[in-house]
Amino acid sequence: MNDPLATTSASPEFRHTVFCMGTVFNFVGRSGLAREQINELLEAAEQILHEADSIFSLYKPESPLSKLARGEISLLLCPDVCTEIWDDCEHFNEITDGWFSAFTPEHTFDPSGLVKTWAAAKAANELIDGGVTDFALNAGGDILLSPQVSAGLPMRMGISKPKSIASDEAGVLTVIDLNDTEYRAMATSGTAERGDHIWNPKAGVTTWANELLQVSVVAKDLVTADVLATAAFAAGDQALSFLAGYNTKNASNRVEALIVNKDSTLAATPGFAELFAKG
Amino acid sequence: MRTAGKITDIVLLQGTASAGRSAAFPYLHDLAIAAQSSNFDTSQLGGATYTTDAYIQALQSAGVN
Repeated sequence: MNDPLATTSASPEFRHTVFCMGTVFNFVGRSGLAREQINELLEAAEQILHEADSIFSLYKPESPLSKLARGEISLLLCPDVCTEIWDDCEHFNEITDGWFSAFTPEHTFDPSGLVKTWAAAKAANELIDGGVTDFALNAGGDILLSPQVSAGLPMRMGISKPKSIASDEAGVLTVIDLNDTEYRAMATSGTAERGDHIWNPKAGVTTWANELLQVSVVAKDLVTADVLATAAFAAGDQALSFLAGYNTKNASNRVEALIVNKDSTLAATPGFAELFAKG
Repeated sequence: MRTAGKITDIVLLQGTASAGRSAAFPYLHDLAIAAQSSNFDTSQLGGATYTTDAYIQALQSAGVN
């Protein structure tokens, strides 16, 4: 009865998996709504993910973003959400002191670092607006908890070792517990799954960020966690001073981070130690 | 001598400097390991963005499907 890991909901559980954007989205939650209604909401959420993919994928030559990147169309001819993403990218570029940038070293617009979690947050809102309010969404390794997620086990998350989940060396690095905190999201940047893919936006020419193995960032919302993880990974050896500066300037939207250094030692922001799960 | 590898293989350093300017905090290693076997829903495992293929392979290795 007093088990701190007991889930504070008696509603039936639902689980739903979506393959999209070259990765996997997993919804896990609890709801008292009729199963049919839950399924309809999950389908609508799934549709949001696929729509974002069709607009923003740079793997699809005919997507508006691919055309934009090739200079065939201007931003004004793209769907309205492109302007929204463009503005978001500018905002995050500013608040990360330039460590997050959607502009490639070749000066093309590549918001891939933002689109997945942006779409995931939008898909989550679809469920919340429809009355499904107690769930987690794992967007390919970046995890969002709904504002009214059950306390207990649903507020815990594992962090992978900096090894691909498909490798023999895969495993859990550690487990964090967001119960009794304001944090509702965690995102991780690293090279374990897809190798070098984050460039250093402060280098003049294409320079892959590779001074760290992995950065996991905990924040109130998923997009902030994602952007800050990418930015801190790009900042490399300067990640901790970058994050300290960010937290000073963004006191109402603070983040905590766990960093795996290149030699597998760990570093973290001062508040992270309190987030490790106990028992 | 330190070699890259599993986190459990880390040799703790008393100093605070690791490669470059990034600090290493040995106490974090102990905290991370202490929490490593804590319960969580495995659907809530975070990490670098995995590909669909890696995900399916991981499920198969785990004996699912």
